[in-house]
Amino acid sequence: MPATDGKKRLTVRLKSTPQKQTPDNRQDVELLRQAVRAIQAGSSNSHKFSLEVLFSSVQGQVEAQQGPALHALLDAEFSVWAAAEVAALATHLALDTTTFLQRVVALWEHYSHHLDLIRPVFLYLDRAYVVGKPGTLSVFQLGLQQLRCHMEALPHVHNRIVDSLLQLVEAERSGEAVTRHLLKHTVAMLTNLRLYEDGARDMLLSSATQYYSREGSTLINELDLAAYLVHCERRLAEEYDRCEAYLGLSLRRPLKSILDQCLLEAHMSSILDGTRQLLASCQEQDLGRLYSMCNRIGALAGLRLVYRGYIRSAGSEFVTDEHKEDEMVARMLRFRRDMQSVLHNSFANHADFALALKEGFEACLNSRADKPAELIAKYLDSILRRGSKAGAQDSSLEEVLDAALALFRYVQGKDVFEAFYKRILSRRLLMGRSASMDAEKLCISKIKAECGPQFTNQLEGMLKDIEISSDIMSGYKQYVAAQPASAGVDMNVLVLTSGFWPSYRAFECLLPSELLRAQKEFADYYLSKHGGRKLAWHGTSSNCVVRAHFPLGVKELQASLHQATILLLFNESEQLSFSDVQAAIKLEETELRRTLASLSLAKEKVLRKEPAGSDISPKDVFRFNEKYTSKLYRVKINNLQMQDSDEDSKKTNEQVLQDRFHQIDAAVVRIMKMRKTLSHNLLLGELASQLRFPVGQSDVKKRIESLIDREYLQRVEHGYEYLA
Amino acid sequence: MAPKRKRAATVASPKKGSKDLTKLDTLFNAYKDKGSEEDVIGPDGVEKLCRDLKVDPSQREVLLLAWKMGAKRMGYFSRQEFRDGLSELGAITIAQLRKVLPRLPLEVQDSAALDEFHRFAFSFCLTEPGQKIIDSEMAAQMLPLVLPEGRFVPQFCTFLTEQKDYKKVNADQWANFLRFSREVKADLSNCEDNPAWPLLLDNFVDYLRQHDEAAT
Repeated sequence: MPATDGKKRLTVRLKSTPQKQTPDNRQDVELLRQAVRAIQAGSSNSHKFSLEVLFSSVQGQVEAQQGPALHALLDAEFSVWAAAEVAALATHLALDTTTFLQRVVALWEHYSHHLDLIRPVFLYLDRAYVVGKPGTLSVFQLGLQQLRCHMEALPHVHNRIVDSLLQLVEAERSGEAVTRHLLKHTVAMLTNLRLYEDGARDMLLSSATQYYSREGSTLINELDLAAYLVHCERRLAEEYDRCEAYLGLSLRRPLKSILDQCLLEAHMSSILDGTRQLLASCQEQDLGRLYSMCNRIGALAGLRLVYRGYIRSAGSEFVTDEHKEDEMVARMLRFRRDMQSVLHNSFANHADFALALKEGFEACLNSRADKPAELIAKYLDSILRRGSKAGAQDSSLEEVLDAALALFRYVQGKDVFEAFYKRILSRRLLMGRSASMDAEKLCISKIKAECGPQFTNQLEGMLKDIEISSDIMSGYKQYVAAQPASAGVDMNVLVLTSGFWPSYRAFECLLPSELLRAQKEFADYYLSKHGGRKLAWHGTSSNCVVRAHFPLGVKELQASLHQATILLLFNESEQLSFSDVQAAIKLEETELRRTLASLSLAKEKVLRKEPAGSDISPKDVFRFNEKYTSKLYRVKINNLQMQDSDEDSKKTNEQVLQDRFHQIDAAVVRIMKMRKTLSHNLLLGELASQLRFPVGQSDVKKRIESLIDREYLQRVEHGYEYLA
Repeated sequence: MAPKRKRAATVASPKKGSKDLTKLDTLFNAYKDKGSEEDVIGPDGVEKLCRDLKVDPSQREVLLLAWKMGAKRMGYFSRQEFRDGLSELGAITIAQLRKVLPRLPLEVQDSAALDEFHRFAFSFCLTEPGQKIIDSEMAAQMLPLVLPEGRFVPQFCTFLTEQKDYKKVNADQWANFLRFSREVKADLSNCEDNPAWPLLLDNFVDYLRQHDEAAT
């Protein structure tokens, strides 16, 4: 025989083996019945049945076409057995849950064990009869089937089993210790009886849903969000563990979605409400947990909105807090650093969240027009005045600048920044308050990278002027040294290109002759080098150091040019009236008042005013203050003008506003010239893309109306036409 | 700059003959301002003319008459304007003119003519050389004469006198009000159809809506 496969050979032999003479049927059947009963009863006399005899009886029966009868016999036997077992179980219903389950598990172990013993006996039945008849249950399955039927026939028993299972699972959820192997075996039994997938499993899930929705509703109110999230995470781990231990891995996914649904999705609004608190205290770990949970349930969009909304509202509070304007930029920088670190550490640098950060900051920084830009410029001033010391603590100067300019990037009104930066830079450079030229250059190069060379053109020009001036001065010093009859005033001149620098109000003032001579000397020198240029002297922002011999000691006074000029007058006379001073130096009256006030009424009273009073009046008389003294050798006399910086800001703002009007006009004309006719809304759209500051609908309308007035444009249906 | 006027009927027909012209000249001379060096009927003359015509000088008909004459200055008619206007109307005596007057409002029923009349009324208010804008008060007085039945006119006039942002009205705003009055429905439901209304009219819409809210 060419067969190679053992199994096949067996089959072949079966077919080829001649039919045995039918033995006494009834005897064999009875033998088998006895054997089955003996095994079921687990009685010790089962060994009196020789397995070989039993096996061959089965084979004989099957070969005698008695398969169906044998099958029916087993079915009946199992039925009786299972009925008895279940009925026995039914008498234990009164027991407590654990003990009852112990009974159940005992039953199962007993039943399945003996089924395992019966099965080999009827192996031939399985092999020869059941296999050939689809739809017929194998011996083992037959046993299970009967047990299942009888379980189902007694629903109170079945229900009790499932209830007990649910009860214990819930007890475990509530933190009680349970005997896991009981549960494991119960689940195994139910699975084998196919009672698990169809009934118990769904009940387990629905009980989990109930349990967790109840828990979710209570805990969301009882716990703070951070603890709640930790709890959710722990719950998931527990359920996973439970699945692995006894519930079966197929329940992992449905349980996870139940947890997500009941603990997270159902309370999403409260969770997102609580998120603001987490953000406010920068609980990065908790936020990270929340992020991964939202990511799991696809609720990132909501989280992102909260993130953006929080940045916007919290940021706006900083921005609009008028009492703490000085700290605004510092607070915003801290805030941004925190939010960025949240983005990085909790939100996995997700691109959508990065965008939300940007949008949030743009919204809050622009919630107040122009002021943030001004304050950023002032903040940069404070940094650049301190120089490298500014970044001493934990970050370099460059990092500090980068952070400040990152805020600047969000600001829409860049022109306001430019105007203020220029003004403050000029003051810093002229007063020599800048800590380092390199830092200035670094900052400007960063602004240039942000806004383009046109934006920083003038700022660079200003720096260059200062550098060139120092070269000119060293040349001039040599020139003066070679000059025998020089004025003898140690003078430092800054030559500024008029277009680059902001315009200051110039006050005419009659200078002392020494200074006039020095000025002329310098002008001669400069013009001899650079012919064709025009020099205009700008005294208002000049500084002088004068030495004063007070009776109580010699002092060096650091004063403005006007202050010094007035002080020098007292070299000639002991006392001068207001009009004397005015006649001598011909300074404009309000400026003169201010200057005299700074000398006689402010901190350093180097002049004595008679009569005393808090105002300068034209009738006052001024005297050299003989009693003046100070702890310092060099005293700085503050200029009163410095104080009204509010007025200064207002002026700068107005100037910016004017500039904006011109820019809108120019942009409208430029656009209309190209388009000829354009509807109002399209024109607004084009304007928005051309202008680098936000424009209000009404501002634009005003400018358009003015252009119509000036006949650049005329109205056409719903729009405008360019008039060439 | 006053809008350019293209009036087909400004040319007096010479065919009527010099007889009519002489009559008109005589009529003109009766009202002429004797004290002025210019050849014009002055404010006193206009007042006298109105008396003779039995109309109030602030009546719409007088404004319409001025429009027909193409008068350039408020309160003044030049000889040429007087001649042209009256001969176009076919009136050479006071009695004839008095008959013609009630017919004048019919002339501006056509919307193109009303446009023109409306524009004229604005430039008529410009009394100083080089003046381009008129006082809001003046506009508020003039508007009911020009558009006695126009939508929004009474509200707009009240608004003009109450608001503080605009002390003057320019030609653009004046012209746009006529469009606004024609196009926008009484409930303002379609005023956003045209986003290009001048700011003055935007403010007016806000004002109307606030009043509506206050009323309800």
